Amino acid sequence: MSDILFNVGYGHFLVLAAVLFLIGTAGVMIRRNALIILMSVELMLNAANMTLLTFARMWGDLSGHTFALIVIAVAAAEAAVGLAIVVAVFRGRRNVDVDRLTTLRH
Amino acid sequence: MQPGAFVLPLLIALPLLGAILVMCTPKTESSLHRGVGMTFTVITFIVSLLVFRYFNAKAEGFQLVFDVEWIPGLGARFKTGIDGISIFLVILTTFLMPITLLGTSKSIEKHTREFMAAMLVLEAGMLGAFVSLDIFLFYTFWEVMLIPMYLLIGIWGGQRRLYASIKFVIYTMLGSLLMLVAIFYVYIQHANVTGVYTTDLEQLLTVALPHNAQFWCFGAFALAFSIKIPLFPLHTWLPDAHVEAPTAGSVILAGVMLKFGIFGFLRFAMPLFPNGAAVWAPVIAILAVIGIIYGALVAFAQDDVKKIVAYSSVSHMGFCALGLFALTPYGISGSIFAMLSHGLTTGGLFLGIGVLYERRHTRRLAEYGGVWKVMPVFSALYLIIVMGSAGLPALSGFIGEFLTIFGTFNAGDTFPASHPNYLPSPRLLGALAATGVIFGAVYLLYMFQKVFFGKLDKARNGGLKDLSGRELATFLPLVALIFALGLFPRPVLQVMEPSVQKFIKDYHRRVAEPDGPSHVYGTLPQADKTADAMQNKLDAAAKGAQAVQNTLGTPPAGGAQ
Amino acid sequence: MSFNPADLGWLVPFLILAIVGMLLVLAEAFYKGTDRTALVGLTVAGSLASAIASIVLYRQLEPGQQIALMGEALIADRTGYVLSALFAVVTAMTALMSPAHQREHDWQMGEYYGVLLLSASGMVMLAHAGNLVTVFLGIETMSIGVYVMCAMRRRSRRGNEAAMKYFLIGAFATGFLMYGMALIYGAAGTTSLVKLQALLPQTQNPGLVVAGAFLLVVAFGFKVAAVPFHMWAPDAYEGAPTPVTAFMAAAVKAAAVAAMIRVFGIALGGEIIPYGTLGWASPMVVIAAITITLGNISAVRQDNIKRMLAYSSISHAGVLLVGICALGLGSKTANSGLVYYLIAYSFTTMGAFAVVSYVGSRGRERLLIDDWAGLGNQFPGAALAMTICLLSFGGVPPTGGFFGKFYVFKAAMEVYDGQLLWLVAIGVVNSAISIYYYLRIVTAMYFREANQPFAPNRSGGLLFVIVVCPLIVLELGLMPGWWLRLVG
Repeated sequence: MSDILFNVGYGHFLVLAAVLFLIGTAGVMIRRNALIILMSVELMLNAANMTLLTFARMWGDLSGHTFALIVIAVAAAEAAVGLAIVVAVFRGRRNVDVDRLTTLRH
Repeated sequence: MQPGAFVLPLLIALPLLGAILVMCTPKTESSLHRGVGMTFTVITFIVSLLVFRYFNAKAEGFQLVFDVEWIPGLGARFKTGIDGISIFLVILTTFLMPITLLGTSKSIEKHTREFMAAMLVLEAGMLGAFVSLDIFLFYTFWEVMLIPMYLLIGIWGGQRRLYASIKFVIYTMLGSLLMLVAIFYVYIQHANVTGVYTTDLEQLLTVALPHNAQFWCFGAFALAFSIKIPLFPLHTWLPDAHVEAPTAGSVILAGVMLKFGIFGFLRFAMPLFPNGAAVWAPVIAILAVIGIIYGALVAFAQDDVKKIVAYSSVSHMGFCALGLFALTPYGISGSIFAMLSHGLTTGGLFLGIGVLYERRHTRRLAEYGGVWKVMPVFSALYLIIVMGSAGLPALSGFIGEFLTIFGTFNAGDTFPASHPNYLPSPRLLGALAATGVIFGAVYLLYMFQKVFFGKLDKARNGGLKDLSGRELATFLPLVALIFALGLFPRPVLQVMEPSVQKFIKDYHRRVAEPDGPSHVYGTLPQADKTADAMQNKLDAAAKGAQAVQNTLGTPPAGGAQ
Repeated sequence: MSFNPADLGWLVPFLILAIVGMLLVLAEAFYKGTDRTALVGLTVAGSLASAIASIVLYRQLEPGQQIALMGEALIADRTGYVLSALFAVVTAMTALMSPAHQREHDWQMGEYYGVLLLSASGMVMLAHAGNLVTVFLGIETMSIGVYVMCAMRRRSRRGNEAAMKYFLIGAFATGFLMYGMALIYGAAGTTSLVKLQALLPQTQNPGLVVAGAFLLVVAFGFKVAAVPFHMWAPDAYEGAPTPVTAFMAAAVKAAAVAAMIRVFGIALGGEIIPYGTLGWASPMVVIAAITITLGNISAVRQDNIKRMLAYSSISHAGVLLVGICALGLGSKTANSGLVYYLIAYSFTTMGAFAVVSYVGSRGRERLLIDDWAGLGNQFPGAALAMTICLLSFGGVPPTGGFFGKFYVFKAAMEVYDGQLLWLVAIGVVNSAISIYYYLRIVTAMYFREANQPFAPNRSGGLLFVIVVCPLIVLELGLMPGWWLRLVG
């Protein structure tokens, strides 16, 4: 028991990343506020980053580290554009609940 | 290239050229549009007569073959040619086109330019489909025909034209797309066996498919062609399309396009899948007989003249299908002859309805009566066409119907009960079809009597004018040909004969091929049954191993240098 | 990844797009007034220069030759250059279509052109991607640009809503994409696609490959709008400005497929497949079948032309997935078939949306099919162009759309001993269904009378696209051999 708890290895990081990814996925699917959805997506990306870094260390390969840095940068750009869109939507209708985005027909 | 090879591509190119030219003329010059249309269809007709100059009536196989590469990546070729089966259908097409344009030139008032272009593209598509010797080229032309006809019904049609045009397209499309799947299958199987990708019909014919696959592929082809014929349960698009189409559309639809069903069976479906044809033949023959009688009975109950003729087409095309699937020389010759006759007579019937409709703007039987008194010339000519359609001896319809029924009776001799193509009691089918002839005479004469005889009691019929010179010029050639075919059928039958004989000979040779995985005809060892089955299994195993090898062994595209 | 300055020569098409794109964004900052004609000119010049560069570089390469650039970060080959030329041409056409729409619907913004080119540079990167990192970067560069373009009509509620839906789903897909890539990386310890192809079959952790490939299928499913990941597409297509919709439907989808050609064709193709019976191809085959069918059935019920075209583009995505499966399963002709299909589909889409943009005028966008009644009488040229494009969508010969489907299905028949015949049959029968709804538009245009006169959105650029696209579509159908040999 204590071995699993205290002897932290690659497996722990991978499992943590998987849990984060699932939490992120669930957040996107369950939450209705656009900002929270955006945050959940960031969680998913960070889970992917953590997995990348873990594997990079496992393989002793630098490209995983590079990849993670690139992902962080791109995620920032994506978040900037996303927030701008959320703000634009909020200006128009004073809320950002995705269930109430029903102007376009289904 | 064979002598005269240029004729067939020229035949396809001429109407297309005409269509392009007519689209370049100003929009309002409707007489100019008619002139261009007439000129090009007449030139096409004259050029099509050149075919006889180069065609050797004694030889079998394809002649005037023109063959160039079209899509190298696919193995598709622009290959055209004719034999004794298609030669008359080509002439029928080129002959009916100017007649139709002449007969209907007054009835189309709006968008004459687009009308002429549609008709010319339609002609190019039909001629192309008749002469294609590449299955892919055939499919392309087959689809090309569809669009102008859809426009003809949709733009120049009657009240319910939207419904009729969509129904026409969807029916035809559904059938032809399943045919495309079967074409795919043949194409890939041929490539697997020979290692060559090609859609050349004569190449595809060298490969025998497993009987099971032939059953399904023939089914897919049969669906496409049966819709076109139209065979009994698939005929429902036809009355709608005919009633709503303008006269020119009806004439071409009934006169030429329906023939593609029978022609497709003859040229593609039966040679490619002989065993499939053997299994399906009884079904189709029975459906054809049902169609003959059903079409006749329903025609009798109609009030709309156009519907009567439309259902008579269902009945008459049933004869063609029956004769074809009897698979006797008489039956097939009769089937082709009946197609020619049907093209002329039904074309004439629709043109005549067009004449009446232009004058009275109604097609209801009850609105007519006693027309003979005011339009004697028209009535006399129409009577000949009606008699030709009903199968009166000495007129064209008789020969075709007689030969198909005769061929069906004889099917029992050439196909004994042990034969895979055993027809369900050929004599019974023949007898039932013969009753169809009687019904046919009844409803056609009933229609004629209602319209032309009786008292001239409708006031508006009193002032009808008889045929103008232009209309006379459309009916006289038709009537003359109906007489000529009826009195002198021998020259026509003689030209067909070598091709028909070859068709039947090839069919019997192919149908005797034992079942097995896809292979080139004649390469399967003719051992006893068990050894045969063993070999099949071995082949299948080898093939499976090859497939696995292919999947595992071939690296996908990629791999940097 | 190592940097070799000599490789830059092979990247000229990408560099032109990126640099001109940045210049355009900068130029907008110093621009006064509302006339943006000069910017349009620069955009078209830049994208055409990029297309020409692609063609020149294409001619330097032998068929099948592949040159690894920047330590396999990018690959220069014929497929890549054909696709990047296609993306550049589609970008130029989008730029030509845009000014008229901007003028008519009041969203003149110069940044648009810069973002357009930057987005296109991401596509070119995808066409040449040789590494998971470049695939990711390409997809994001492309997508972020398109999110912005979608939201350009700031005052339009519908535009904002479309942008938000598109963005949220796109970001969600990115999450799947990244996690899938991370798992694949974990299985082999490299991000180079070519090395993955060699290393993945010997991996100690096949589970990671299966899970990673599955996540990638989901992620790309979102990007190409395959059922059940398609729900964003109709809304985004309807809400976005029409030129942007055209760009999304033609170029973005094609670029996503280009990325799939690289990822599923190289890294995950061939030997890696045997995990499970068909590996990742088994879910993809099912997704393809459902996508083709459901896309078509939903399109039948639409009255709005943009939504109808959206659903039709969903069903086309299904056909493309069939091609990707065939490619992964080792068909030798799938690559050229897919490229041909993408070319035909892109030009058809551009042509169709150009007509949609032409017909709609200020205050009346005329997006309902009923609004198109009588177009054939009043504007026969536009109606004819639309008809050709619709027939090509429906796969009627002799148009490019027919041969595209034919080649893709032929490739599918070549693999697995022809057992994918059922998929081909589904695809082909669906063509008949699709004919029905495409003909609804044709029927409205030709067979019905107009209820009020059209006031189309005339502009030289738009008319150019309307004329050129149908001609290319017909040319593709009449002489498909030349196009097919491009990458064959």
